Amino acid sequence: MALMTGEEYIESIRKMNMEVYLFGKRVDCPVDDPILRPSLNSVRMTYDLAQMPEYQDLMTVISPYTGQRVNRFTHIHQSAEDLMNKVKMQRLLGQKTAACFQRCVGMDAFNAVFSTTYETDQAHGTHYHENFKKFMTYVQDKDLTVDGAMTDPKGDRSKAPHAQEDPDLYLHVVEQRPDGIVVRGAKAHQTGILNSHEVIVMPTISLGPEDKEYAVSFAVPVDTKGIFMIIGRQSCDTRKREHTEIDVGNSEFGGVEALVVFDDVFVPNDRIFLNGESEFAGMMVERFAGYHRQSYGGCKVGVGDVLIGAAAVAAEYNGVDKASAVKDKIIEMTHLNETLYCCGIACSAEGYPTESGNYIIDLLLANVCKQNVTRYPYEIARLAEDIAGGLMVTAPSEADLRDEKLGPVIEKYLKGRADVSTENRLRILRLIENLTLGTAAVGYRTESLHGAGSPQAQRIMIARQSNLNHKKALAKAIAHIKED
Amino acid sequence: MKRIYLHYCGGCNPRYDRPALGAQLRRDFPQYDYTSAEEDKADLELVLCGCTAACPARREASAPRRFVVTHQTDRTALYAALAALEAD
Repeated sequence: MALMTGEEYIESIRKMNMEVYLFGKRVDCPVDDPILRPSLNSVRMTYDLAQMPEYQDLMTVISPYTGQRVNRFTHIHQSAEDLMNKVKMQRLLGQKTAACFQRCVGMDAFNAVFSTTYETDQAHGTHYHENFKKFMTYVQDKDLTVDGAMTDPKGDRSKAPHAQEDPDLYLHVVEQRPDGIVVRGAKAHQTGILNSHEVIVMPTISLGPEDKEYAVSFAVPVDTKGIFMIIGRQSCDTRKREHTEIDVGNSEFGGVEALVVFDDVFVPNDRIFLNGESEFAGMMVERFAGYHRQSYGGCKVGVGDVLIGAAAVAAEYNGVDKASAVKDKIIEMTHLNETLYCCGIACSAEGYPTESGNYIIDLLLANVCKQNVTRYPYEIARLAEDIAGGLMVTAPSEADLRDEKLGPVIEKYLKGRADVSTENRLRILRLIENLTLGTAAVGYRTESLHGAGSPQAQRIMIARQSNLNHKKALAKAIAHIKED
Repeated sequence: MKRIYLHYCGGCNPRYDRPALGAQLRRDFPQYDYTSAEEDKADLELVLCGCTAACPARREASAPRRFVVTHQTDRTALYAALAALEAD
């Protein structure tokens, strides 16, 4: 079985025995929980589109390892074209879900771990690359969703992992056994782990020799004994329990994040990809971050497409779509959104092969891409709110709209253009609310800022990659400067 | 019966409804056998691309002949090309 249907995916997640907590209680069946289900639907879209001929070129690819058609989310990039197709696929999925579809992080972990294990083996004579390839072909054959877990809680940021008062603030190995290792710690902000079959764990920062026990990478099923997750709150999340369609803005799709605890989890030897080779932690982190910063040049653009469309519809419903000021705002939103896409495509087009043979993006351009993503969605959201007007945050509830007495009053006084229903006007405003300050703002705004590394992390990488000496030499040549 | 490999681009930014055009062509040219599987031996690869980037056209053709459609393609030329396939 190389490709699962969406329904098969849902049922495969239902069969898992994950330990999930929400609002202080264990969730019996996360698949059917109204707060969690929209996030599952978003991942499901990665399976549904892969079944459709009109999306096959982006959603699937022939695996060079199995010879089978596999979902691109499980693929090891073989060319710059593969890298560009990845970005295009992400834009497509952003358009179809208006949410985080969660599967990118596993794909980015796949490609970072693939090349890092190869180079670790070359230096140390280890067998991590074979371990990873075995895991990778298993994932491709079963069409699994994989979470990539990098961010440790980190405690006191001024101290290295080994210097923390609590040694568990970075995930680490607590026991080496003949048949594997035991790990303890936690990973924060884990997008989509709830909807994943497996999790790849990676270190979160470059490490020195004194932090060997923290230099660990591995993969385990997410329902492995000792793993449990505490779901993060999202703005307006409990609206999903009201079983209304309008007030949630996007009733079908969403994202999800969790704090994931690894409480003495056993990892068998053949699932270990790094174990003590601390000098390779930085390589894994840098490559994963690079791929993930490229990703944002696709997924956020797709969500941006929906937000721009929503703003344009709101303008039409308000009867102001012909106003030059409104048209100019839509143009500005489009300009910003396509600039992000340009960066995603550019860092992919400049991609190059690693020693292991898979392709990696241009790190400078990928970091420029993400740096722009930390800013432009905020401006796009501001312009959308500007066009939408204050009603997007002051409109009455759907329950009021359906009320016998209040409904007609709302219909009368909140109507825009005469040929547009008040309900449709409220629907589009709620979608804008959802994307700019509701549950989806987690993904579209704050995740744009901090996901794949906060802005300063990109600035460090930009400084490192900028080749400033070359620029200085150029200036000196033009100015005919001769130095002794 | 001549066979056409109906190949869609991935559809990240389509300027027209590609599946709708594909369905229309199937209706207008029922004399051909259509496949969406690249491995099927076809006489013509008809690539319905959503925009002028025409990503699939960068790869090697998977049939002796290929016709690439974008949103700028003249529909008369497209219909002429499909009509000509029968005569060849």
